[in-house]
Amino acid sequence: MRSTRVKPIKSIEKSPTGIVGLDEITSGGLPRGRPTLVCGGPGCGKTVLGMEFLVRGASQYDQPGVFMAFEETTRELSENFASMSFAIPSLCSQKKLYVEHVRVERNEIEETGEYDLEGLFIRLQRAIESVGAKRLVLDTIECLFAGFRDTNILRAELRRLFRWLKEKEVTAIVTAETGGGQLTRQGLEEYVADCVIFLDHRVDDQNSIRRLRVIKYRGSLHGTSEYPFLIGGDGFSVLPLSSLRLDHKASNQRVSSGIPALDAMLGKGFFRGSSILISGAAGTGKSSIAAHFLQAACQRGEQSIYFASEQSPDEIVRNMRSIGIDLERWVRRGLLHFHTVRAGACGLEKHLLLIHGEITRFSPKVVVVDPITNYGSIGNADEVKSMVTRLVDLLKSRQITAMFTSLTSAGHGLEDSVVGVSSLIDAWLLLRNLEAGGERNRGLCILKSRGMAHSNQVREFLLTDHGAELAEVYVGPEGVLTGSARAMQQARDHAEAQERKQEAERKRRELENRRRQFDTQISEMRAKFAAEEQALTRSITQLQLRDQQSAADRLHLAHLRQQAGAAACGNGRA
Amino acid sequence: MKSRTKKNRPGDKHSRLELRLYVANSSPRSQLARTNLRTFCDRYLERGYRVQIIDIVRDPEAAFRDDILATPTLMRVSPAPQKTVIGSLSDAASLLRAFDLVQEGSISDSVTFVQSAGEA
Repeated sequence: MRSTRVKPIKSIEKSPTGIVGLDEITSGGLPRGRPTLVCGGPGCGKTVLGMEFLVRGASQYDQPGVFMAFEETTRELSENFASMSFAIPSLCSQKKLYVEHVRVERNEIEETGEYDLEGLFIRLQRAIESVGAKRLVLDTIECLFAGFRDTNILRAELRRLFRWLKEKEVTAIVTAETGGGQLTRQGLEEYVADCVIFLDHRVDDQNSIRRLRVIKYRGSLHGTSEYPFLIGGDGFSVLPLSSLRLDHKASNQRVSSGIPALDAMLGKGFFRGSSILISGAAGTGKSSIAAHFLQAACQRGEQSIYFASEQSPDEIVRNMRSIGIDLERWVRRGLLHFHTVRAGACGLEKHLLLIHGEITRFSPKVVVVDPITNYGSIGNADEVKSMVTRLVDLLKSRQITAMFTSLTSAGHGLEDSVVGVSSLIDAWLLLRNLEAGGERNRGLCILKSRGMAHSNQVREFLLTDHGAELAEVYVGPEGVLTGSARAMQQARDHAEAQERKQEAERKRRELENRRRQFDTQISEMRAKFAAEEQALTRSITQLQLRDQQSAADRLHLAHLRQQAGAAACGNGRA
Repeated sequence: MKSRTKKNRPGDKHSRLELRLYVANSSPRSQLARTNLRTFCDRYLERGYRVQIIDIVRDPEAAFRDDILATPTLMRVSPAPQKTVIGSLSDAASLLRAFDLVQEGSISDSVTFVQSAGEA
């Protein structure tokens, strides 16, 4: 045994696997230059994990790798991986990957006397040298126990092998099968003390669930929970419970809900990266709000994903067209992506992983999950809550603004129906059916909206052929008035206003008439006066003329008299 | 790579026997196996066999080609089918059995060879 305390203590160096979730859980990857034990039952994905570790190492980190297959032949391996996107043959021809089958068959071998596994060491050495390997996978070395009877020799040799691997400074994955109530049938965990990863594949309620757990990681912080994973065409997807930390960035940027009146109720819209819950009974318009939200994102040129578990993309497009939203346009432009899987089609973990995969693929800014309550049917409350928690965490950690719709049903409390996650949610809009006056109308209010002043008003939510609108509701003695009651009230108000307006108009006209009458009177009087004036002036003139005439006449008469007197009897005055 | 061939004797029923011993030269067990094999051949085999000794430390390709894991490994290449015995070949009886060389009386006086690697 080598002493582990010879060198000064430094933090352990790591070799990233390239599998994002796994590197997060192990805070950076597997211990570099040391063997890691990957154990699990048959078909749990040990071989895939090993191969992906090598393929990613070779293609992403420029670390060539060696795969020693004790179970499958090289041909079987390449056939098995043909359906996956691993470019095994091409990596092999580039000398970045070397795959060798080690045949172990008990029946053919007779043992007599002592032996060692020098042959295996030599072959490993040869394989490592052939590509300059930094990574190595032994899958599964336990097969040796089937090939050799003398387990004492075998154990001693395995111990030597793991020491040898450390000396070679290759980062190795050793796979082993669980069994006999132990992690590994042959107790390999004794030899590989640095890092042990356990893979589990179980079926609950007919849903297949794969989980991964880091049982041990000497000298390193690691997540200790069971993490769900999925094996798809791209290999492993491990979804870490990001709840390990709560360090999401909080943005002050606002994003529009797509409905101007709703933005106004919220101030300016939702915070970017926040999680929004729209809850309401069937037919209250949850999907329509979601469609507005997506449309607004697409108009801003942002990538968005619509995760739907009730309607097909075609149905959604058609239904939204009826309220004047053309989602197909955004699909064609590559901004909106539909992802539709029935809730019951797979387990919760797989749903989460599928969502995770889509998010990684498109890096959306906006995501809608419609409805989130459907997942309640495929798991118990705790599982669903855990799934939604992880989903919210995942979206928040990527600054994705997410809208979840939640179907509330009659007879259940609000909390029940939102799968107990309302505390994780930043903004919660409640849509309600308001029944009054023999009709059903939609009402919308904001139950909460963290970090922003928001309206406390209940608004009537209208779906028109040109989109959703919010109307002020009337609060009267019988409560909130909506629909036709509101319309009647509006009409009444309108009529009254009209009446007042008409009255004013009438008065204005009367005034005008009066003015006109007055003006007429004035002008009549003026005319009369002018006529009188004219007559009087004329008579005055006549009088003056007559006056002048009589004066002239008198003068003339006097003159005549003077002439006559002088002629008769001297000068007498008249 | 050493090979020792004894002269074939026509008509011998083991005339086609061909053995290959894979050793890791440095290993004491391999040395022991060589000694034991030589003793075995001398005692139990009639002439006309062929033994090839391959040191896989010097020829790793051979280990890969012939699927060798343990050393020492003794392989009967011919006659078919191929048979394999691993270990320091300390028990002559199991060798005889493995290579179908069991003859009348041969087992009863079979000898256990040197077992400890230290003596080699």
